[in-house]
Amino acid sequence: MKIKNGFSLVEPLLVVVLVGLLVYLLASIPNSLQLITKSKHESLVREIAVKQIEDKRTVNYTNLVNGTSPISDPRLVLFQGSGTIVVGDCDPIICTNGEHIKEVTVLINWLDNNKTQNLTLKTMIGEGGINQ
Amino acid sequence: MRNEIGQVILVLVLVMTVALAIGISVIQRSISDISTASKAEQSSRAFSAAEAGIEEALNYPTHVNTSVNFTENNSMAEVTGGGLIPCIPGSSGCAQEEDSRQVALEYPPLAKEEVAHVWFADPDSSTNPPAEAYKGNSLDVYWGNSGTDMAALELTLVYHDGSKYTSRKWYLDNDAAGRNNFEQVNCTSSYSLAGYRCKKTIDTSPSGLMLLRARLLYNTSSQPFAVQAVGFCNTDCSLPPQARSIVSTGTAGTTQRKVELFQINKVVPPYFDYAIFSVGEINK
Repeated sequence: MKIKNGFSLVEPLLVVVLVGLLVYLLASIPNSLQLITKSKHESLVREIAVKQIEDKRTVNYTNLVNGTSPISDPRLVLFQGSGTIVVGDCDPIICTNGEHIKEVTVLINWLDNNKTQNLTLKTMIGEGGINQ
Repeated sequence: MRNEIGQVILVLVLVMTVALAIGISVIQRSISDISTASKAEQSSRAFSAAEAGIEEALNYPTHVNTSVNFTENNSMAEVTGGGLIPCIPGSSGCAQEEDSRQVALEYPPLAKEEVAHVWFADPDSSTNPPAEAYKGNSLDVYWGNSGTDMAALELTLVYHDGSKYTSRKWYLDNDAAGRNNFEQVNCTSSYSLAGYRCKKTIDTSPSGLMLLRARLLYNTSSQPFAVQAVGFCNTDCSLPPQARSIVSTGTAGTTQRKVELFQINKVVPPYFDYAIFSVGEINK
């Protein structure tokens, strides 16, 4: 009987496919790690924005002055973030009856992988409303 | 050696299996993290919009079933309710026809020993005693929704007999195990008002009805409570409009958040039931 030396066609093909898959997976790991970091940042930013709105709700309506103020949360500095909280009068399209309501908008920007990300939360605070 | 052929590929396959498992788990985690973060962000936007809807409804009471739309923020809120309840049948803005029975005033679920307050007199009256409103001779009281976590009910009716404030008490229980000496009520769950396990029609014949205080006892979970006026004579057979029930549903992307608000403006504090009131001096 003739002794079979070397590989059959299937064996190198299998190796090539597996090596290809491995390389693809290894190449996508850094990207996945970046996505994990990005989602962590998103969650943190959301927490900061929600806290800003909750803080505004504890302010008496008469002390809510229209204007823009920066958000000073030390956690934002960790990923080059910055934000503002904007207090303004309610949009007449929404408040059709001259309601005593302020529109509060929290805007936060931050950098992830050299790309600017942003989050905007918008709500309203009215005279005699929630927590007032 | 002949019998060592194939070992390299075996090791290679093993290494690759481990690498594959690590790679897939990292990718899986990143996908789930991104999905969670995105949903949480949508949820916050929806909640903020729902709160905005509540604010709008609170600030503009006559504007019922309104909506708030933050177009640039891709969030909005639909608000149902907002007007004073229960409305008097036939009155302006009330969906109920004249001479029909007034709908029930349903409280949000009450925790153990939490107090519900129902006005019989006009809550906005400036006179002392407040102007009488409900003159029905009886009132249907509904409570509880559990056959295992059975709630007992303490009711205090306060009325002004012409010279002084007087109270009348009821202690009601469905439990037959003798845990107290309360009046036993047979609960059947089959009432015209759905979602309640027990019902009792109480006598409200005294004139000068002021208010009713209700307290659930023994329940471990929060359970509903409602009252419904008896009779078909509009104002005299209806509880005065006194509460506001607002439901605001915020939407952002595929996420919805709901905020419910039940408000009664003028309520005496819980210690009212335990305090002693006297026209004259109290001596020990």
